[in-house]
Amino acid sequence: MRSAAEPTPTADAALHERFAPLVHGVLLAYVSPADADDLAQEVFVQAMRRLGELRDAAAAGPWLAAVARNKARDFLRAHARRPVLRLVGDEPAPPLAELTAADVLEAIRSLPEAYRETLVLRLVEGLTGPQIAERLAMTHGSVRVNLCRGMEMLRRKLGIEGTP
Amino acid sequence: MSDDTRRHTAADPPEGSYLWDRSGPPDPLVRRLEALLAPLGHGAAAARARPRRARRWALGAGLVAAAAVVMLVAVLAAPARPSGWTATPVAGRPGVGDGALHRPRALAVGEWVSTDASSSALLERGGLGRVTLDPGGRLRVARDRPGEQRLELARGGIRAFITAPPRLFLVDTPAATAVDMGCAYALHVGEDGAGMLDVTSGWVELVGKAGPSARVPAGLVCALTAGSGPGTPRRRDAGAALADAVARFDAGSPEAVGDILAAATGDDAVTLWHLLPRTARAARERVAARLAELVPPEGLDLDAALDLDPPALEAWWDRVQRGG
Repeated sequence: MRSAAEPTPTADAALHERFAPLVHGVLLAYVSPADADDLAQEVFVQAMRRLGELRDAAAAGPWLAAVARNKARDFLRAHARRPVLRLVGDEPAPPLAELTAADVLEAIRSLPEAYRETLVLRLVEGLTGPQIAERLAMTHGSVRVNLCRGMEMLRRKLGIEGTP
Repeated sequence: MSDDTRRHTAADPPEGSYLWDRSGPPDPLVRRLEALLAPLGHGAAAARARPRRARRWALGAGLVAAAAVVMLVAVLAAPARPSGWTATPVAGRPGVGDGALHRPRALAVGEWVSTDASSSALLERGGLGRVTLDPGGRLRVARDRPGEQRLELARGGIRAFITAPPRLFLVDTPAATAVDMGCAYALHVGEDGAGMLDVTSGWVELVGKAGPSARVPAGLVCALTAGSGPGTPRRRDAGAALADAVARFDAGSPEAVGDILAAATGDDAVTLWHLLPRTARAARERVAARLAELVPPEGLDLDAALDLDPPALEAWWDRVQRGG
């Protein structure tokens, strides 16, 4: 039974439901999970204000992703933080069985931007390759390359290349 | 190289693989990472923060509804005025108008910003994004009004990072107009008006002053030729044979189509689709046959596409974008 506190379905809520994993995932490629939660809300409030200018519904995903990236970079600048790029590259990664979510996310964040975002969307937010392609208006080929090469680099970062 | 390593270093995950779309035998490492990382995702965050998020969302929805009403009234009455562009020197001493750009300042419509071999400048507009003018460039604001933000790039290179809604931001060059569709890209124009577009995120539509337009998704590049308009988009990492054949085709050698078809792989459907309106009937049939191998046109009117019927071409484009 829906509570009074839950939002009523509207076009805005439908947009949020469809693109929230995309926006959250893009943010998570740059900032902490807690910050990504908060910034995602800000992205949608900002986006809804300009929703009426969107003439091509198919481009909503790339637009929201760009807004999210800008938001993340502004946040990092404002808080004088840089994405942490050190740990996993500078010292041996823990054994696979001892890896934590934080270890893996750090490793993903140390990858090139295109691979980083695609892997977060796939492994954290649970979007499939076709879904990522559709929401970012990318070709399947580009997403496939990002996923495969990103996973290759991630395996090396985690020290498990060649391990079955 | 062991079988395991070969599997781990395959060029692309085949369609139907677990990494791509969770089909096929589950990859143990991918499964483990999914299980580890899922608690950090949006779904888990929403569940944890539901009471707080619901209050914020209900408040936000109310504000958004109010803002939408205000916006609708404003649009019906009169469009809101834009905030304008500012230019900031990034390196060296760029020029603006008849003088030098010493510090950030507002730009007037029609005022040129120019950079020499050692200078660069940053143009920004609130709510739209930012454009970096690289050394050796010349750029001005051509139009600054609600619904249309248009720059003119006479020469040199820019790198654009745009957060505005699609089709709001355009860049005129001597060869074509780049229409932003929500993206980041680099665009370079030489002294002869020829150039190259490289899209790194989202996609850009290039509308030529002559010839068919081009739709350039992320990961692809497209040449521009003064007097001919946009060339044929191809993957940035396309092999030398394909890149050379596309360049020859764009330079006016229709016989290069055969080489393009021979070099095209499963990732080159966008390139082949763009060849359809750029080729004569006989060559077009060969292009369509090869494209049909990559992106089967089941349910589409292939004859209409060969006749360059716009709805038929659009329907095939939808398939190409979705990967078949």
